[in-house]
Amino acid sequence: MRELDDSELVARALAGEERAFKEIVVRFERPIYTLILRMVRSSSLAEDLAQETFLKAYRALDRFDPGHRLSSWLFKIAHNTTIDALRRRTPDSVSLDAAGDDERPLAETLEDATSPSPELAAERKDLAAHLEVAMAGMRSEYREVLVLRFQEGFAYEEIAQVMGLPLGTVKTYIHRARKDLALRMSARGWGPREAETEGATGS
Amino acid sequence: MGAPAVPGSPRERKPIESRTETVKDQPWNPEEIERWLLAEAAEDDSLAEAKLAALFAEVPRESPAPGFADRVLAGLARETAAQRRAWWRSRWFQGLSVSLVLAAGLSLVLGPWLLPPLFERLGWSELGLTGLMAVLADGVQGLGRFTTELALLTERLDRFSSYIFATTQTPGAAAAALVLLACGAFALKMAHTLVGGRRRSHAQS
Repeated sequence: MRELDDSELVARALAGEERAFKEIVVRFERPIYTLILRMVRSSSLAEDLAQETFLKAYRALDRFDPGHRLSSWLFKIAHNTTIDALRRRTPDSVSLDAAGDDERPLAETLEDATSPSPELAAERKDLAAHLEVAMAGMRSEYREVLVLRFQEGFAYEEIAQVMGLPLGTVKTYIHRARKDLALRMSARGWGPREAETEGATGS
Repeated sequence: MGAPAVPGSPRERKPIESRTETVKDQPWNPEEIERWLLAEAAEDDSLAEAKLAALFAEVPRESPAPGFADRVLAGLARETAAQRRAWWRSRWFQGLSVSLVLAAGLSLVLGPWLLPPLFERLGWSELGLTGLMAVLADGVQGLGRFTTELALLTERLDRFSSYIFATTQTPGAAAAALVLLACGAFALKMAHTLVGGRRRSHAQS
């Protein structure tokens, strides 16, 4: 199963092969869960919504166009599912902007099988924690574009498709999200030394 | 502009900074964050994008709790089972049930009053139970024949429509259909003009 490409897996799942659909879930559970978690900032809710995403995907599998990337299609379903869930819930039940409302601390949800050493894994968790804390107060759209663009490596057009937004809006969001994150990281004490900044800006 | 260091704020990076010199094989170091922020400060968008992408590449993706895929499949199985169980909740089934109950009730109320005169008229009152059963069997047999004929007719119609569909796929047939359509429209228009003219002359007279 692991050697099969996405469209072959979809074809087999459509033919009723349960193992093929399980492989699709295994292949995409982490990126889908990561995106949703960044949007809702609650691990239990993120897991529920990730499950709902895959169930919806299974039900709509016959409508998947093999000409498109499976990941984009799944991310679009995840995006819509999460947005619907956020709209359904009252602002009190899901706080988009408040940091620390996660039942499971982010560092505990991280697992990286490719880490060569515990030290490296710790470093990466550290970096993730720094970015996570800085991103906590950002708008959920900004967090989403950051994940799609910089973690998943999606093109602007793909992000526009996933989020159902015009291309120009996506570009603006990414630019603003980057600047916002930079500002927040700076506010947390990160940043180039004064001399470097002066050198870079040429002033 | 960009992301300069906040004046006067302490550079709180102890957990990472203290390890930069000790861990040699790490693929990233805190300087990467500084390089990205420097690119942001310099308004170098493409470099800033590249640096931020490099940083995110080192951030591991979060994982759901172990056994997630199995839980999804279990959810799928539950959903399918629930759908199977809930067929009797469907609107058509409920409508059918209500109709049947109503029909049974009506027949109980109206049957003794309506059936004797009807049986009298049909000449069934002398048949007795056996005769009535024979009539009922005839009816069922007739219904079966009717259903078979209906199925045959449907099949023939299906074949005919498939033939028409296949035929109209050719350019010649499509052109002929267009010509027929145009002729039909012209004929309709002529008929409309004719009827309109007659109405006018009738009104004048």
